[in-house]
Amino acid sequence: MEQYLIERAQRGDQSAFAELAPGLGDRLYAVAHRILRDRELAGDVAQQTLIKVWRELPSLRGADHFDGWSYRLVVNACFDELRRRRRTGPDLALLETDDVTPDVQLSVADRDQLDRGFERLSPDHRAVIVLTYYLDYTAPEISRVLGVPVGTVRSRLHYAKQALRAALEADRRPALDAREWA
Amino acid sequence: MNRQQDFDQLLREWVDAGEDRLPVQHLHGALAKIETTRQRGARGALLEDFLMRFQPLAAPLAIAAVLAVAIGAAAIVSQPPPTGPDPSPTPGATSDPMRTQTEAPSPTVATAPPSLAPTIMPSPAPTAEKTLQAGGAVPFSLTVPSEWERDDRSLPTVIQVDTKVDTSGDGVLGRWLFFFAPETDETVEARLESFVSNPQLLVTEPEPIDLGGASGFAVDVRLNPQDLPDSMECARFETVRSCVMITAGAGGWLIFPDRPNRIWIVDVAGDTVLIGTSATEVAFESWTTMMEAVLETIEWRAIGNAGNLETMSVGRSIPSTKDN
Repeated sequence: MEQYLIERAQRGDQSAFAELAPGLGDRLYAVAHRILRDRELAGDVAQQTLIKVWRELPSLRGADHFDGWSYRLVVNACFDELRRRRRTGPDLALLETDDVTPDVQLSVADRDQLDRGFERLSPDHRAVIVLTYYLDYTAPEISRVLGVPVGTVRSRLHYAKQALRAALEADRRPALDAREWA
Repeated sequence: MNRQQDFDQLLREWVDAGEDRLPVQHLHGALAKIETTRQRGARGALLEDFLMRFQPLAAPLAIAAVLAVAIGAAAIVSQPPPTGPDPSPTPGATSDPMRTQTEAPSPTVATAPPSLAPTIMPSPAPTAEKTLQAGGAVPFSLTVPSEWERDDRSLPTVIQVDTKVDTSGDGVLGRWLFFFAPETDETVEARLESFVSNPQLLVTEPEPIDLGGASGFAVDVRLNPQDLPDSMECARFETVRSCVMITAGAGGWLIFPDRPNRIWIVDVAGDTVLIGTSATEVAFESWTTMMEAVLETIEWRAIGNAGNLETMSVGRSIPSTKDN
């Protein structure tokens, strides 16, 4: 059904696109929200990307590539937005890691620390994390979405995870220290 | 589970916790914008891709072109002056071959028969026509403007006859005519009543019509702007800005809220058939006038089994003919 709508929209059928848009908009928004960590910005980016999807749809070759193609548009839009906002900010702050094993269960404190760690990541590293853990994309799939080599994807994922792990553990260290003082 | 898997799982949980629904104002903003946004032509995109691919070669090619011109100029300068008579009858004719090429076809264009004119005009002649066949349980043929095409991949219960890509932004939402035979024994009057009595809709006085021998009614339908609760027959889907008339059988009927919809309901030898289209307020009159002219040419070709959806694999069982 979706493929049928995509093909119709590719040929300029606005009603077909209107049927596609709610589901597509949600998917774009979900990715944008995870990369940008800002509801309003993510809404703006998803809205602009929906319009761009409509405008560029005739250039899409094959409806089966639609998902990856539309994610590429939204990720690029997020990059533009982050670069606009962070021209003066730090890019990627890598922290040292130690051997503390985090609990699997996600606590509020963990979430806060991951949020903070994620905000310090560069747009490229954010995108790799979201595409890997939210969309369950493989490295070759991410490489196609981002237009970078697979090796680059793997290395970005490695450093992004390292940074997030470090952020998480930075929060735990004071707690351990406090216990030691007690 | 090892340490790495634990951390992966943690990240998965953390990233899953974000929001998944685009706020409705952003969706509506996008949909409102696309109505006036022209799609980039596929041809333009392909050309751009082609040019992008050759972009790295641009500098070497430019240098090569400059060198070629320089070498050519040097060759001309170093040539000895001609000693014999000039072989060309007129210098102008040989020095400007493009002029000859561009001017030569013009007499041909001027004397071309009228039937060839559309191939050199910016848009097809509005009077050009062809016949389209379509249909399932209620097959039919139509005489339509030459740029129209029948959609070969119609949904099982919908036949669409539409034009090729049209992004001229004239306010017509797509360009289509829906032909729909509900999978019920509902009469034309009962179907009409389902529109007229629905509080979600504003319906004009039904106008008796005859389409190719099939009698029925035409109405203009708008979505009632009052915020009424969903009914069994008409559920509002705000996200697609439409009201979907759910039939007792399969399928539905989209009523677009921000524009009038014209619906023809006719009885084709016992089958109730709905035909519909819509356009923006500005384009509606001219669009429906054109649709009426097209529908006057309708010929119902055969009658299938009423209510049998299996006979409605429209557009696949009956090949289209495009007689320009």
